[in-house]
Amino acid sequence: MIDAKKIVRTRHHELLVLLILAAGLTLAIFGLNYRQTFHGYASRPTESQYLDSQRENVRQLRKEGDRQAARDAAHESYASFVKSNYQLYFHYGNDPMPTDHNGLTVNIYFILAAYAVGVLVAAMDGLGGFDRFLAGLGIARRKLYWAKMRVFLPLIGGLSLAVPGLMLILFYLTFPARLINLTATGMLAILVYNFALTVTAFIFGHTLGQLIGRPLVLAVGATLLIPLLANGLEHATVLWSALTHWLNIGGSFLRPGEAYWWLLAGCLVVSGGAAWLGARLYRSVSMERRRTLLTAPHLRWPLVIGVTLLLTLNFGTVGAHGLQPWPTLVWPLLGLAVGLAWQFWPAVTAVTRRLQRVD
Amino acid sequence: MKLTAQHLTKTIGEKKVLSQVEFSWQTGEIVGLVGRNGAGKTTLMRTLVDQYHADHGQVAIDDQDLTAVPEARQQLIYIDPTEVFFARLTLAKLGRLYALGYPTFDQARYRSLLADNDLVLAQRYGELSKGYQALVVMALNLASAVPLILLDEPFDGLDLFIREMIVKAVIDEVADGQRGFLIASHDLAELDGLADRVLFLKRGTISKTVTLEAVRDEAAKLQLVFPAMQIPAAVRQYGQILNVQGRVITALFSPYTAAVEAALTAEQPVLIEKLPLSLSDLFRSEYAEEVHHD
Amino acid sequence: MDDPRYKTLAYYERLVLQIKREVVQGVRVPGDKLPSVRDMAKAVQLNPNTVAKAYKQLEAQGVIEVQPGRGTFIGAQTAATAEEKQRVRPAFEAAVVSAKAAGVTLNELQAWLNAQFEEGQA
Repeated sequence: MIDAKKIVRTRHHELLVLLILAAGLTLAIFGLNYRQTFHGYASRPTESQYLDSQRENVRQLRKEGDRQAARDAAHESYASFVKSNYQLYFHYGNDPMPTDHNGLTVNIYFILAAYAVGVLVAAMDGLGGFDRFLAGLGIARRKLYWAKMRVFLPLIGGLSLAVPGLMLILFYLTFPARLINLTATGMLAILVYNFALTVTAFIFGHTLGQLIGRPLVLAVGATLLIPLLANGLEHATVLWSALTHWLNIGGSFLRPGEAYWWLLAGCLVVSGGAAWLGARLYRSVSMERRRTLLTAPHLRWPLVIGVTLLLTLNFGTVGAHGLQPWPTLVWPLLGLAVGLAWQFWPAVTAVTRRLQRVD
Repeated sequence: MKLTAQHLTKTIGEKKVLSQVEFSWQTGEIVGLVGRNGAGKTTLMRTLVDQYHADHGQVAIDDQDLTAVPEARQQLIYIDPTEVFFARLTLAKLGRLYALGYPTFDQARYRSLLADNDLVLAQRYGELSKGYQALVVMALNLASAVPLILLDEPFDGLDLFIREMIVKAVIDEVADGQRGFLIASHDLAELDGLADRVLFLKRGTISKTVTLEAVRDEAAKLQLVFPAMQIPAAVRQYGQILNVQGRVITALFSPYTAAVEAALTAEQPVLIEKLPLSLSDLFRSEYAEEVHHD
Repeated sequence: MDDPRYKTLAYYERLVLQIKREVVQGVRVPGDKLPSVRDMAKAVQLNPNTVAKAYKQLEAQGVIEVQPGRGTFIGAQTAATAEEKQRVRPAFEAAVVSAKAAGVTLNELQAWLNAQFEEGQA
């Protein structure tokens, strides 16, 4: 019996180590940030120092005639002062996941690393010829795809939980618990969120790498997707809340807010869809297409539609003054024009044909 | 163990590279595959190992269709010398990867083959010269202990001694009847003595299969000189003209029977001389119309 | 094997002739063991089937004999049978006719014959 997972692991040994190092690096970054927070807390003013300076402050404000401000200043107790300055998390409104103050909610660095590694694995294997080696071994391609996933996903998922997990352990070992200000559900929300986003990022990156065969186009496209997706998501949540009132306010990747569950659902859909597409592509793409611009030609229109949607979301729908109807129309029309040009206009098809290095 | 290919068709880009390719090949045989540059030899090999999905047709090993039973493809190995993924890997890691991919891989044999040629396991494949790279590929193929081995231009760029060594290794493997080789090569002289059969790939299909010993028994290459400057009808009728220089005609007669000989002598040639018949002559006759004549 | 006189012949025929010559010249004597098919193939860089065919022909002509389990040996060269001689005659006569047509004289032919028979005597 051929152990496909072991082959993938042996081949991608260095990448797997790189992932562990990346996770370690992000842990170091957050650790150092925490160290600053901890140091700040450790050198906080004592109660008497605080009360002294508060009295000074109140006296000053009374002298200036601002009686309201003076009264407010006098109200804040030492305890609440400490909490508002040093707490690690705070809960805002109905957000399932607490917002980070000095703690860690979203390990954006590792999510991006997972995305990059996903793209890299697909590109290395497809363009570098490893997939050709695997193809000749007599293992069904579907099994090969899932062997790859089963090598990377557990490690990535595990690391995505390990970093926030270890940080949390560090907090509870060194910081006063009431200042950490975390509920059990809040903790769970953080871990689940990191896991979902990191795993989705890898699968999405990998499928992208399978879809686009030109290395330069892939690199540029994958990079541009990051701000487009982040900004697009923000606009999408604003639109969603405006149109459906199921959300009170928009969110983003870093601060999902009330859009938390929508984002998790989105991750499920995207990762499931990307994995399904990835398996399909791996099974059906014949290797001579592997270096072409788009490895699956019948996905041309879905790609154009997807990119148009993304650009419309970014530049069309929500602008500086809120929802804007006219740009929303312009972008889809542009997308349609590009798609038709790609399909029919000889000059464009000639260029894309030249980009199709079919071998 | 027998491999049969039927109706294999593959289009790449806009070109129909393979069109209804049919052939069979079994262990104990050395089969040569010849064709002009770009004829599709490499495409055929890549299609056999499922790097390329054929548009039509099937490949079967011992009657097991490889699309239905992928495991049967484990009896086949093809290392494409132009598409190696392991340029940056050390020879040691290469051996480990192939051992994982091919369960019958003989690690000891791989190492001794490398050691015999003063190759060090810590060297990276990409750092080696072309000849040594070909040796490594050969070592991988032989150590894999896979019954059916595809070789793509194995003699390309090799010095005489390494070439002889590889030929000896191939002969050794085949002599037991446990291994078969399908060798795509431009080196017609090498294939001449080595191959049992030669497949000619022309315009996407196997236009001719030649068993060399049989051909030499029945065919003849003759050098003829006739009194008149014209080429007699008998020559055109029974033979394939390979070369004409002044009055000297070189032609291939297949088959060369007594009747053909009689017909030729009837034309009263000034000279009939039998020349050595080689695979190059057969190649020249097969692809004659693709060449510009002066 | 690379003897230019044999260039028109098939590889297996060349091998047959080469071994026969070696016997005539005394390089191989009756009782000598011949290399196995595989080893001979490796030595002359030929397909083992080609070598096998050559061995078969040699065996049929009585030049070599296969002793099962022990190997292949040069056979005792008994006087050629009349049958064998008859088989070779047409080829000889054809060669003479061609030579005559090419203008070879009887003296030249005799010289050539002598050279052939002297070859192994050194």
